[in-house]
Amino acid sequence: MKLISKIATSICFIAVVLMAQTGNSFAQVQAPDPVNLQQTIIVKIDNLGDAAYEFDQNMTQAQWENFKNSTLVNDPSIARRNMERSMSTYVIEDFNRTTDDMNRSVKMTFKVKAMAEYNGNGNWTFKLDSKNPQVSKLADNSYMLISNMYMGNALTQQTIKLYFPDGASNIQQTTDSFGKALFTYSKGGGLMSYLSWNNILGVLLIAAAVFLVIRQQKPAPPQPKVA
Amino acid sequence: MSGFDKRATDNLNYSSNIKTGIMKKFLLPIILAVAGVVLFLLPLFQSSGDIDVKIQPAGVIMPAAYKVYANPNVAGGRFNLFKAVVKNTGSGEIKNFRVQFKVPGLIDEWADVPTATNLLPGQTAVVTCFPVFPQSITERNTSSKEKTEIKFLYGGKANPIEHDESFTFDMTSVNDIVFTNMSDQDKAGFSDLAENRDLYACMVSAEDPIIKHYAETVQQRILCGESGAGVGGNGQITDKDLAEKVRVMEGVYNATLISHMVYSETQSGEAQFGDNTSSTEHIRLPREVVSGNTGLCIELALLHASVYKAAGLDPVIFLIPGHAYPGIKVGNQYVAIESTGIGGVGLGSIMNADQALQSGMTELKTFYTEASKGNPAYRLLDINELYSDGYQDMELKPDPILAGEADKITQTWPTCLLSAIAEAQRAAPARAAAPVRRTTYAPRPRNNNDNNNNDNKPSSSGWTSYSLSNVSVSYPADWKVLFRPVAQFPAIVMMAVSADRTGMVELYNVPGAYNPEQAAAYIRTTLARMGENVTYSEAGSYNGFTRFNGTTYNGQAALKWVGFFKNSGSGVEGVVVGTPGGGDRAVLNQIVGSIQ
Repeated sequence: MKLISKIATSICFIAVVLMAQTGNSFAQVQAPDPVNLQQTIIVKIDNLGDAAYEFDQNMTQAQWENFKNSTLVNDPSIARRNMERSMSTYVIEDFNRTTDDMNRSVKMTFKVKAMAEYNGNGNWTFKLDSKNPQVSKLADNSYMLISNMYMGNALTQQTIKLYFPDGASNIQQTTDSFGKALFTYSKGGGLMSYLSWNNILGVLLIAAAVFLVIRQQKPAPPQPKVA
Repeated sequence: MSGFDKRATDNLNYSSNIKTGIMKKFLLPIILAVAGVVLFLLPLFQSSGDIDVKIQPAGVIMPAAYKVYANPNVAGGRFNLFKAVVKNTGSGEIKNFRVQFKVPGLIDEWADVPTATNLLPGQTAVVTCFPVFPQSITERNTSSKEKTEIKFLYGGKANPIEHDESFTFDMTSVNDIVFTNMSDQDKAGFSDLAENRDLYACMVSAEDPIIKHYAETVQQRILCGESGAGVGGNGQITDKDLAEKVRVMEGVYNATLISHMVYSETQSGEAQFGDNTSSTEHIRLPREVVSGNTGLCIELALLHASVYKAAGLDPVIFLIPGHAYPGIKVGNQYVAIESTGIGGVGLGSIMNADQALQSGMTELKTFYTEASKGNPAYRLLDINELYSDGYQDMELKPDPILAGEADKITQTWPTCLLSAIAEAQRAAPARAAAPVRRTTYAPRPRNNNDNNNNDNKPSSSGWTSYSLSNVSVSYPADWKVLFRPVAQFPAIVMMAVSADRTGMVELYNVPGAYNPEQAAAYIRTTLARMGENVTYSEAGSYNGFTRFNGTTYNGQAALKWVGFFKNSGSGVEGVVVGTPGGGDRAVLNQIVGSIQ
């Protein structure tokens, strides 16, 4: 969930740094203000390992006013730029950000290329890059993670829903050689993975040829007699 | 035609007809079978996959940050050599996919870049290279153009398909910092122009053999073998711990001061790296500062931070517009010192360690204010935190030449600076013991004893005065007078206190002080060791004296005072008039008016 943590950090920075401007002195020791930020992140992995992210965050009135008043943070191009720079090892596409003034929420959608890696023979890996995450299974191909963290002076609660591609099977959470958690799943592979349209059509054509040969097999006509 | 011939002909025609019939019957199946085989074997006649590669190269590499480039966890991974986006544009799966790179002259062997091994048709892989440069890169003293070669391999293991790419990039010298890697079209504000400031931490070289030796010499000769870097029990920071850490800070400052180290300029400018225009700065490493005996503010700050860290302190550097100064973190507090107080071109007077500390703490107040407003130009570099984040310092090899130059300077230091100061102070009072001039307004002469007993009964009315060689003051004759009231602080020559203790006058003689500022700093330091916290600020001049306004806290009360000091022979003499509150303003003003 390293990327998800980075996304959360980037998004929290958008709102939390604004709260820092409202009077929290950097050098003074203060008890953290338990202002909650609610974030929902939905991650959908497709058949090629790319992930579609949908990020929702609700704010309090004070947070919303700071957010709306900040030209820097309120600029979607700046938000995208900052996110790309904080996730330099990824490729982000189709970035879009919308705001809902009535509900004081910000929604971001974007696509991250190559989130899951293919290892051949239908074996896929999706790295969480964290140790001992608390994961709950929602359905056969979906899981949920909930985490709480302090960012700046705000207590941020994240709900992350992870959806694996249709047809994914044997989804397991395990660890890599460094002890970091990751998901493995199977999709594709097997005999059918070696067959493409040309293989199948070729086999059908050969089968049709054999069928015709068999069907056309007839006893040999009688030989004319030699007087 | 005979019957045989007819039959033969009939047989021949029959055979031909059979063959033609067979051909006609099997033509379609043959066609279908051939087509089927061709289609089935079609992949053999096509490439198993084809790749489309897009490279995002680094425009510039800074040798000082070579460990940062090897760490994908720093700054979101933006300190990389290149990022390659590889897409399988073929119709077949790519297997055994590998990426290798090399940088001739630095990384001469092909090195693998971690990547996925298989790519399905249409699938994309993002390959980011974090090079492990050798330590020898820190020996790069000039900038240069370097080349990166990349190989993309896939297909059969024995005979893979190879796709080659290459690009050139700028490599700066080990002394250079490039302040931003952001492309010009993406930059918006100050933070973008200076996003690489954290890389200063890479130049804090506490593990440099030259700096370690320098720090040891400071401890032995300046701090006289004592180091107060340890914290108190249970991690609690006591006042004594804080005082000891501050003493280390002042010791490092004194080391630069008695070395006659001077502030000096360095090179900075702007350069173009790809599509990025960035400010650059050429920075002397701490080893070069101590051996060259000169440094810019950031260089002096880096030196201080390096020695602080070598001494076990928690160093920080405060970055403000156009300036930098060092400090330490002690628990939740910060202590700062103005390291450029050693003087130099355009800096005016030289500060002693106390003055430099005072100046740093004054600057810190402004720093707090601006930082709390979110001013991005004010930034705190917490060196240990930055190390934890991956901004690791360089490994520097021993350099006999620089070490020798540094030793030449440190060998001029006294064996123990504190002893040298004490010796100077012991020698100075003999000169100050000149006969005092006494002018009295009261009819009864004063008894000028050098003890603290109260045999000197105050006059019932009138005023009296007391003089040193160059300074005199008048005060109410009925005030209680004490001579040398603090045995361990002989600089206080005389003290007069009102009966209700709401008014006080003190006369000081500070031998060896170069100027009033130094004398005031010395008084403050000495009182601090005695448990009294003194704060003050210079407030112009008065009647040939340098005036100071200040407050002294002794844990029970705060004494507000005004002091007047001036040079006198081989030192500085002065008068301090103060009140803890409730004092007779008219009397105090009259006392001040009598100072000459």
